Amino acid sequence: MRSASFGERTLGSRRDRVAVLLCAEISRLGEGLDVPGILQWFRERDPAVALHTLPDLCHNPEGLARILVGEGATRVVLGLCRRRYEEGEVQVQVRKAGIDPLGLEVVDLGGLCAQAYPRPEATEKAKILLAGSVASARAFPGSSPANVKPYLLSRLSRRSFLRFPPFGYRAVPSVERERCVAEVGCTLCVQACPYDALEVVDGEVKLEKSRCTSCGLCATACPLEAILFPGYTPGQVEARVRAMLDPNTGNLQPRGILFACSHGQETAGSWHPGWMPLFLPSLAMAPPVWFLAPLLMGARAVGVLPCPGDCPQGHEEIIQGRVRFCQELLERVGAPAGLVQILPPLDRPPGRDGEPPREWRPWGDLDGSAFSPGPATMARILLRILEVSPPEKSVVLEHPFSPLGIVEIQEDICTGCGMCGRTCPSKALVFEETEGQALLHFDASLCTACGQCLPVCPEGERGAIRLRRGFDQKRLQEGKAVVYREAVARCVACGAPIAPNRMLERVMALLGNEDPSLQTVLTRYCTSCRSFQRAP
Amino acid sequence: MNSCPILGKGDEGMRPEELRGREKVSVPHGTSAPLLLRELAQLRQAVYRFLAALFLYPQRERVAQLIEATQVLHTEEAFAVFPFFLPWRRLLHRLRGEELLQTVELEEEYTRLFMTGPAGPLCSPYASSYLDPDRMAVGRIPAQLEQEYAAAGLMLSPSLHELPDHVSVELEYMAFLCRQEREAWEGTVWEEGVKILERERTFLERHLGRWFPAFARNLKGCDKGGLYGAAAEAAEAFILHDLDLLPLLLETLEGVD
Repeated sequence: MRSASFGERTLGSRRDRVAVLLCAEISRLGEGLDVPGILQWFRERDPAVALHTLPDLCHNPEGLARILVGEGATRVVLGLCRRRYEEGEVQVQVRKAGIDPLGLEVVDLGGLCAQAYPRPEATEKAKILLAGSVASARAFPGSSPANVKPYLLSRLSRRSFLRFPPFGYRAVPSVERERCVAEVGCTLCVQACPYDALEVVDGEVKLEKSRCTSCGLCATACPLEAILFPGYTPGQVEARVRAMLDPNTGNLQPRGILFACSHGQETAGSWHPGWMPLFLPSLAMAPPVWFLAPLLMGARAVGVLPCPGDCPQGHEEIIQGRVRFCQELLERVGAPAGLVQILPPLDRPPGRDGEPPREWRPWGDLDGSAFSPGPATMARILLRILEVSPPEKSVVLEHPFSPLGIVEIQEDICTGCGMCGRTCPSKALVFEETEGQALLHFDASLCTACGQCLPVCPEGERGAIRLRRGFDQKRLQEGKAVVYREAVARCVACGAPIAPNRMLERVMALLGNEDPSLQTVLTRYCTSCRSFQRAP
Repeated sequence: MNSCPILGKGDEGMRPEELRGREKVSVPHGTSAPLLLRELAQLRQAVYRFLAALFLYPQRERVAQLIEATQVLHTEEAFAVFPFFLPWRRLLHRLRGEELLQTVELEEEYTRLFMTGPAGPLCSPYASSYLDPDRMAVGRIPAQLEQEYAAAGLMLSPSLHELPDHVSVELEYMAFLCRQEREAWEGTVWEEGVKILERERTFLERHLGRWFPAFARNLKGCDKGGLYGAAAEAAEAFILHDLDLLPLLLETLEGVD
C-alpha cells in the first residue's frame, strides 16, 4: 500500500483524465509540427485525453489551473517548445487544480521533434513521445510529503536582503514501511547510495534529503520495491516503453529505446527519428532488466546515452558493467551483443548492426511487470530469452554486474541455524523446521547476490555459505529447491525440538573437554526442560 | 480564538491571535513574486496556531472559530506555492463540512481518539508516548519541554489543563517562535531572525518533527475519512515541509553577506 498522496489518488488507468497541453509556438519552430493532426490522432485513439493548445505556454503558464479544473483532469502532460520552462509557476498551477505536480510529464517537442526532423517525421515522433508520457502519467502511483524536497529557484543576493526568492520542489525517493525489511538487517539501499543520504535508525531507513541528489540508485537497488521514486517508478518506465514501442502509435519504424541521462544532451540533434529517448536522473538507476525487456517488446535496439564527459555522479563503472552483462548474455544466446550499447550510432536507424531474433518480437506477449528491479522479473526475462532462443547447452554466466546470484550451502559445515533465511530480504533463502527436519530452501530466481546472508552466518569463516554473482539456467528453471536438510534432535523429556543434530555436534566439538554431564543435558533436553534435569 | 489560551507569558496569557481581521495572511501571488521572509513567518505562524487549536478539545465556540478561520486560510494564492497545499485544502473543505455536524459528534470522536481506551487512547497526542521508551507522562520529555518554554519566557496556561508535551502545546510553541521571527524580520534585526530560525529548526528536529509522523500515521489509520485523519495528513505535510524548509532557509541566509 502506498503512503498518502498529495494529489487525489487514483490508480493509473483509462479512468484517469489526462490533459495534454501543447505550447502553440511549437508550430513556428524549425519545420514545425502538424499540431491539428496530433490533436485529431489523440481524439480518435484515446477519448480520455483532453487536448488543448495554449499560446506561449512555455513562458506563461498562468491560466493552466482553470483549464485543468474545467477538464476534470487528474494527470497532466505538457508538450513544450523547449526543455526549460517556468517550473515553479507550472507546479503552482497544477497544485491549484488539485493535481500532484510530481506526476507532471513534460515533453520537449521542440528539441526532440520540431527542430530536429522534417515536419512529417517530427509529427509522428511527437505522437509517440506524447503517448509515452500519457502512459507514464497514468501509471504515476502518487506521492507522499516525504517525496518532496524544496530548492531555491534563484540565488539570494545582498540586494535581495529580506526578500526571498520562490521555491521549487523536486522528487526524492521515500521508503515504504510496509514493504521495507530493514528491521531484519537489510541495508541494500543504504549500500547503494553514493551520497550517504540513507541510514538505518531503529530498524527504519531514514533519508537525509539535504544529501539526496535524486539519482534513484536506492530505488532500483531494493528487490522489494520498498522505495518509491515518483516519476521514475518501474511501472511508469514500463508504461512509457510499451507505449513508445506500440506499432499502432505513430508511423515510424524501426524503433529503439534510448536511455539518456537527463544531465546530458537536450536535443535530438542528428539522431535518427527511430530512437525514442527515455530520460533518467541517473543512468545508474537502470537495472539490466530495463535494457533487456524492451528487446522483447519490439525494440530493435537499446541505447544508453550518458552525459558528455565524466559522469558528474561518478557512476560510469556501474553503467558500463550492466551493459557488458547484457552484451555477454546476448552473445551466449546467439544474439548480436550490440543490441544493447553505450553510445550507439544514433545517426543510423536502431538495429542497423543486427536485430533481435525474429521470435523475440511478439508484441504484447510479455505478461505482467517486466521492469521491476526485483530478481524475479530478471529471472523471468532471462528464462523467456532462453526459451525463445535456446542455446546449445545450458547457460551458466558469472559476471560482476549480474543482477542475480547463486548461493551454495556446504551441508557438512552448515549447522542449520537458519540465520541466513531470516535475513534474506528477497526470500531467496527460506528456513523452516518441519516434521523433525530443518530445511533450507534456495530459489535462484529470487537471489540478488546482495550478500546479506554472509555476515550473519556463524559458520561463514569455515565456508558454510558461498555466493556467486551470476546465474545458472538449470537452477533458475529448477525454482525453489532444498539445499540443506538435517534431522532435529528432540527433548527426551517433553518431545520438543532442541536443534538440528549437526548444530549439536558442532556445539559439542566447541565445548571439547567440558564436563560430559553438560554435554548430555545439552543434547538430550530442550531449553525448558534443562533447568529441571540433573545429569546422570 | 480567544478562548483557547495554551502558552502564556507570566500571568498575562499569550492568546492565539485572531486569524481574521487585523491578522489576515497576505502572501504574494504565485511563485513568481518574491516571498518576504516576514510574510513567510506570518503564514507559518497562522498555520501552526490553526493546527494547535484543531488538536484541542472541540468545544462549540472553538469549532465555530476554526470554521470561520478557514475562510481566511483558504487563500489559494498564498498556499498553492507549497506542496502541503493539497492536503491543506482537503482539511479546510472537511472542516467547513463540520458546520453540518453536531459538535457533540466531534466531541465524541475526539474522546474516542485522544482520551479514552482500555489500554490508553487510540492515538496518544503526547510526545512521551512516542519518544520515551518508558512512556512516562511526567518523565524526561515533559520536563525538557517545560524548560524550553520557560527559557522563552512562557509557561503553560493554567486554564488548559494539559501537559507540556501535548501536540497542541508543541504546535503553539512553534507558532510563538514564528511570531518572534516575524517581528525580527519586521524590525530587520537580521541576526535575531536567523537565531530564531535556528531555534525553530532545533525544536522541530528534537521534538515535534521526531514524533509527529508516527502520531499522524496512527491517527490517519484510526480516523480514515474523518476530520482528525485529514488534520493529521495536512499537519504532517506541513511539518515535514518545515523540516526541509528551515535548513534550506538557514543555509541560504548564511550565504548572504
